[in-house]
Amino acid sequence: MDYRVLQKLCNAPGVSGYEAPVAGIIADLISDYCDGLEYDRAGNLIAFKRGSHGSCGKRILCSCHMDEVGFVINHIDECGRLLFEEIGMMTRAYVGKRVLVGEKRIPGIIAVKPVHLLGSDERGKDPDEEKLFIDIGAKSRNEAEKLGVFANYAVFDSEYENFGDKKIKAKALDDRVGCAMLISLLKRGVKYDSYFSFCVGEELGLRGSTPVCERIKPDICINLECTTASDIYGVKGAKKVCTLGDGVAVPFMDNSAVYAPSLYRYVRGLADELSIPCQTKTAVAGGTDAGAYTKIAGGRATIGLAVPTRYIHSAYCVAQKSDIDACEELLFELSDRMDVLCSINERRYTHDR
Amino acid sequence: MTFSQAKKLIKKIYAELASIPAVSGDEELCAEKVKHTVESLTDFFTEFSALPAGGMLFTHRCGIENAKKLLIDAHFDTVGFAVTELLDGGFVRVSPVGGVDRRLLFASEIEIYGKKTVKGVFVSNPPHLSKNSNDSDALPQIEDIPVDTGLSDKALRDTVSVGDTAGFVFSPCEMLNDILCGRSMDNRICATAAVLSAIMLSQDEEYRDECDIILSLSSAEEVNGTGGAYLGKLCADAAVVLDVNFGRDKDIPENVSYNFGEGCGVSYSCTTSRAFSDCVVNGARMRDIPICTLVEAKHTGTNAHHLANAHLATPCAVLSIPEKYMHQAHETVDMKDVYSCARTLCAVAYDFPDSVSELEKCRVIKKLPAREV
Repeated sequence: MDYRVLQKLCNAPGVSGYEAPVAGIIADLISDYCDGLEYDRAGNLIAFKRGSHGSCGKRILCSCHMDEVGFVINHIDECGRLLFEEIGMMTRAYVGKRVLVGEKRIPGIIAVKPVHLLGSDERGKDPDEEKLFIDIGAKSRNEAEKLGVFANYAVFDSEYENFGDKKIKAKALDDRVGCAMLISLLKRGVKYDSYFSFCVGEELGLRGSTPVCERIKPDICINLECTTASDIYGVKGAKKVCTLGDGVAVPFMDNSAVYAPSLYRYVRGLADELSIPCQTKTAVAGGTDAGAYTKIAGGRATIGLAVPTRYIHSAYCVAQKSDIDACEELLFELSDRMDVLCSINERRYTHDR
Repeated sequence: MTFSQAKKLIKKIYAELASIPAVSGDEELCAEKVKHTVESLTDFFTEFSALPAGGMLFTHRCGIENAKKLLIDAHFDTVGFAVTELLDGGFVRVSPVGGVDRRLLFASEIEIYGKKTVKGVFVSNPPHLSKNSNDSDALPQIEDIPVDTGLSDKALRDTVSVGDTAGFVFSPCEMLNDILCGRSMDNRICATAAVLSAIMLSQDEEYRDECDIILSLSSAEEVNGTGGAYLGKLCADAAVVLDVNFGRDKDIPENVSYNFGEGCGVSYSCTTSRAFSDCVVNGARMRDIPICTLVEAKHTGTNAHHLANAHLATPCAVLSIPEKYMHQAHETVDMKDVYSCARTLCAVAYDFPDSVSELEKCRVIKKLPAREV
């Protein structure tokens, strides 16, 4: 994994609906390495890469999403305070945090009153989200409006950095890690003709992947994601869902999708055979673009590869480098074996018939 | 067209369109009537088709081969009720269709669309018989507030069947300051604005007529949005989705509403096209048409949410008319905002071939293999 690319991607803004800055970075990084590159009508970035062995006779799609959680400014009050709507977060994950508003990256704070002034009915509870606002220091509506913040986005003001023991900490690891891996695969090259989609709007309910699936109609899809790791102090057993340092997470099911069982077994077996650290998720939780891929256009066979990530959908997501490397390695190995995956998938249908 | 000329047309078009019931689920039954109504109001549209899901399409062809397609959608369905049981004594039980506020139904008049239209009144205990009239917890479900038709059992059974729909009674009126009041403003007033814009374009000798315009009066927005999702198959180059939004009022927060009389509004959202929304806003402002903007970040609550990513995706802008008392028996709008909406639609049509070409310009970096897609 080229961690400089991941750093660049994580630090870029790309709130759902405002993915253009990160999409532009990705397009610049991959345009020399692909044979087709287009934005579709929804803003998804779709690339095509010819394989060294040509086509394997089936359509292959590798997918990730570009968007991240964040905020959208929906009103400026007369005192210059920015009212907002959050995208994809719980209140407690963002109160009191620093943010950067819009393309001008105007610093702001998600303001909440000091603990000393809380009424007895407010103590011990999350703040009422309807009372929260972003303070950028503006003194009037007019001053804030001139800065172009209305209908604009805000992202967490937190920089990518190395953390603890061979971990990284950043905003938007979900799913810039997936983007970085697909960029790596495009640069390395593929054995068989493949499409790559960098989707918009996943955090709004798997919106971008729907038209991608309608357009490409892949026979097999590999979806790259980050997934919630709850391996924190005090959590035991299956409630951890997955564990940092135990390798790439390959889910068999989540709230959005049932992953093709025979392909799931093959992927787990391949990881074991190649000694790539691999685990599954021990809870049926979360949802990804796989939910769209397994339903749209008749439903496509989908595999999920995920990097276990702590504090997902926050300013400070934490992931283990060895898990990212394992995920990337497994992606490369699967990419080289897409003919095998396609024939397993074909047998599923034959058997079903 | 001046506002006073437009105002007369607005009242006429609205009266014609809102007199057609079309509670969600019944659109198909009303399609023929809607077709004749629109055809009687304007000859701008030369093609009509009824969609399997109950929606209706009116198409204007500019005559240019492979012309760009502008879709204007205004859902035609309205909230109401469906009869679920015929009760003894001339009463019926109904379920809501779409979001209806049950607090407002006691002693309200509705009409039931049976073999013939039958008036009904939701029952209400007089205050001196109510134990807990101010206890909101005691508020019954709509299914538990029977509707009195006043009919005998036999007459009821001869006229009304389970599955018939019912709606608020149509009694429009004009109030002070150009305010128009009536049922189903959501969304017949937007359909009114769309028809008005068609009349304006057909009377405009300077209109270049360089794009096909499809007016969709879609179905099922109030229940599940399937009518909007279906429109994705039209592969329009862009779509303006018309719907009502909240007029500012006491207890309505400023960030979700806008004022009567200050123009129609464009909703910016993470789920619609900001570039096309900008085209709509700029087109209006260039022509001094009053227009407001607001943000509905995650969900516009309109067909645009379903259309924007359906099929191959359609760049959408949401254009709305502020309205008070939404989903109630008597909704109000300011006709100046309806006029602004119709003028904005004309501006979109004027600018469309250029604005949509601008949107497409940056999409292709390296062409994807054509045979593969």
